[in-house]
Amino acid sequence: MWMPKRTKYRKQQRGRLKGKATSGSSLAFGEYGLKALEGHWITGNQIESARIAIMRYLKKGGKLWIRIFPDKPVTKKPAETRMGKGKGAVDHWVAVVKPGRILFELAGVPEDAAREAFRLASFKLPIKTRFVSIKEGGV
Amino acid sequence: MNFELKLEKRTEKGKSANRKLRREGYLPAVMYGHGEKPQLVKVKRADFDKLFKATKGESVVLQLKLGRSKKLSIIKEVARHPVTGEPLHIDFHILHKGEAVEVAVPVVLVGTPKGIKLGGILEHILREVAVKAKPSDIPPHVEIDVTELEIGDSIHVKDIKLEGVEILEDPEETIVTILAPRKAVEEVVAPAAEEVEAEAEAEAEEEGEAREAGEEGEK
Repeated sequence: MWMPKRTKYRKQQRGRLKGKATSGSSLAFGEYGLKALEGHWITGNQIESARIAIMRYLKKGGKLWIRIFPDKPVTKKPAETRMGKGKGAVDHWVAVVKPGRILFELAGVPEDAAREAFRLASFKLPIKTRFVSIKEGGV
Repeated sequence: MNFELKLEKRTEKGKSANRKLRREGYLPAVMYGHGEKPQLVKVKRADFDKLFKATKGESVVLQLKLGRSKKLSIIKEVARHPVTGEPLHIDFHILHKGEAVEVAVPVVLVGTPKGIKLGGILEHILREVAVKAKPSDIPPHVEIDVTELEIGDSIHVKDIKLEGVEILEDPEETIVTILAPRKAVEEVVAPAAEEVEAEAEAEAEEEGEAREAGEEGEK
């Protein structure tokens, strides 16, 4: 399960998801990347599913970088509970993704393999994405 | 090959004026250099796209035409839209003949390494090399022949031989390496998580007490 090992505080406020990614919006490690075109909270399970989809397709060869990490706790109240009595317990962890953010990067594979791997990964994510390549500027 | 770009002066600045410029098919830009006053300019988007396509993002010396004056320059930076990748603003660095400047030159790999045929993975670590050179000596790119690389071999900055150019990178820095064949390698680059951990370490004492209280509460 994707979550931080330790945190300073157990729970967080939701915050607002506005604006575009100011950092992490260009390729930093690999030759190809998957870019988010929408803002969303991406859960640890979604990242893991996308990662598995990429690794299964590539089987061997290639190097993958995961550029997001779910460091925001999301709480949930138990079912059939009356309102009040404080904030619920931490249910899962999410990564706050803004439009423009590079989610994954790949190197050491042909372009068509990277495209297909990212296409399969995009089905596991709740947002629209775009394939980016270092040849086109990496943005 | 000589590359020329026609610039026009601009007086308006700021967010709304620049947006208007972009709607009209121009790109806001600035030109500056040693002993030069920064000057606001604009360039036709179509001209810039054509030039960018021709140079393929390499560090070529341009001839900038502003009115009657002509100046040597390089593209220092292109600010791009984080979602669409469209160019938003350009920085031109004015060069003076005989005066050395620091430039980032792209690294181009040539050939297919032997190690790749055996199943290795080519990892291109350093994609740009910072160099100091006179305008006439600035290489458009640094070519590195990787055909002889076996699995586990790498090429470092110290292996680059360029004449009339001073390389500013650490000589021990790796440019390209061939990783051993195995199942696809993964790496988590999680700046956010590192930050969280760093904070946590700094506040370790306070956190200890809070965690104990939390665990009791959950029980």
